[in-house]
Amino acid sequence: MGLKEIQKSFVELAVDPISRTKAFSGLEKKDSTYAEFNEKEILEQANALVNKRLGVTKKILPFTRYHLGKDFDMHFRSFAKGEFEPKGVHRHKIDAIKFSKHLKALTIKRVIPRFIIDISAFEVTPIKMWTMKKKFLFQFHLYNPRKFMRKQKSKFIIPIPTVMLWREATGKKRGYFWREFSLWI
Amino acid sequence: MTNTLHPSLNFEVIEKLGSGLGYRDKWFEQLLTQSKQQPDFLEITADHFIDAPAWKINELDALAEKFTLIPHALDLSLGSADGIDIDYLEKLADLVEKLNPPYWSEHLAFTKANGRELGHLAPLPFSHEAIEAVTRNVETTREFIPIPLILENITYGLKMDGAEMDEARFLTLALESSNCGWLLDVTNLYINSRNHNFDPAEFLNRAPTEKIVQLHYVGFSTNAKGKLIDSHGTDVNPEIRSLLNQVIEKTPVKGAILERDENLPNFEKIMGEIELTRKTGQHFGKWG
Repeated sequence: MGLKEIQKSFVELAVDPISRTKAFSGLEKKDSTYAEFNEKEILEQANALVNKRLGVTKKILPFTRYHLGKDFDMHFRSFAKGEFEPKGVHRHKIDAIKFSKHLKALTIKRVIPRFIIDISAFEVTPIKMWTMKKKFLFQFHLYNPRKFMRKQKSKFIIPIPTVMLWREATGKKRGYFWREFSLWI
Repeated sequence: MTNTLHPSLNFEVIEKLGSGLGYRDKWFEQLLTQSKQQPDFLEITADHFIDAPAWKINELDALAEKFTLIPHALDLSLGSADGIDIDYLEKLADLVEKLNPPYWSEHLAFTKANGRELGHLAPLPFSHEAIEAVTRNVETTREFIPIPLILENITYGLKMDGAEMDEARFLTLALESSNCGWLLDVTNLYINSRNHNFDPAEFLNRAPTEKIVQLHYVGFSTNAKGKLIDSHGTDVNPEIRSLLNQVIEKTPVKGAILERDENLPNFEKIMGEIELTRKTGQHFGKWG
């Protein structure tokens, strides 16, 4: 097998759960290029790649992670089995944004609480602005994200419709800044 | 005698850099404001500044005013049989041109194939075909970035099929064929030596140590199965410090970078590690 084939097969097996299932359950022909690879080694690689993505996403979404608890890892691993493959120089940022959308879908199905949308949407806003090259962004929230930006579970979770105005730093300042506008504070 | 080498091939003109730090933005303020203890130079992860917003580029400009910055790229995939991503290369070239460093670095690895991306460095088979791919891709790269390039040895959990030689020979031929210097990651070498049962000193005897320009080092961790992991998240282990000292003593290294990514300690602690490396280099007359 030539270098091109080795690399193509290795990447496919490492990032694509469907290819892995086919390759190691005997669905592919024995003489396929996949036959050159050891299932255990490939699984270790695949798990390492997902763990790396999970690690970066946890850093981007610390409060979402806190409020979801152990379910955060479970939902991320489930998301990572999907069709989305992070690519390019912003791969980790886009991965976190897509995962936030995945969580939104779970709240609609009522698998996780509604306020999780607001926390994760808030936490991905800076990287959204980075990747979309936005200098300003308005974000509407049903629950005020600030109420969840502490590692303490709230007893009373009530909707507080809030608009967040985000702007990119200028001058010597770094990062992104926000102001909130809420009628019910 | 006048040195007539093309600028991208001339490693002799690279000045001594000293004991440096892999830049992480947590330390931005201390790097710019602290005057007592500072690294001699910084390595920046090029990918963090490609397609970046204005405030991030301002951050880079502020650092560049105070330090020599060495760009370290992650995703060029120099070992890809498919060739390299020209769009990424053009952006990288713009960044390197902006910084005007004495050299820049990438990895002896691949990260992409057939339009798909691993998001991680994968090992090459130790084969002549892989050396040809690296050489071809480095030549393409030089058309865009005409300054010296050094390549880093990576860790690998598995060895790719198709090996025709061992890693030391592969490294020797790949660096020779591509006319690149060596960014020796001391931690990666130590981890591979433990996980694949070889002696790092014996490896270095057979490797092209005369091509070493820069070093990487950081602590490692150990997983439940006893395998060493390049977690980039622990203090420099005594084993790494010992190997680092040997390498500094015996090779023509110009600079060493502490490459900590996780569990970032405070600036004083990280500077303590950098100071130890600085003293070792001074002791062996590698830098002032």
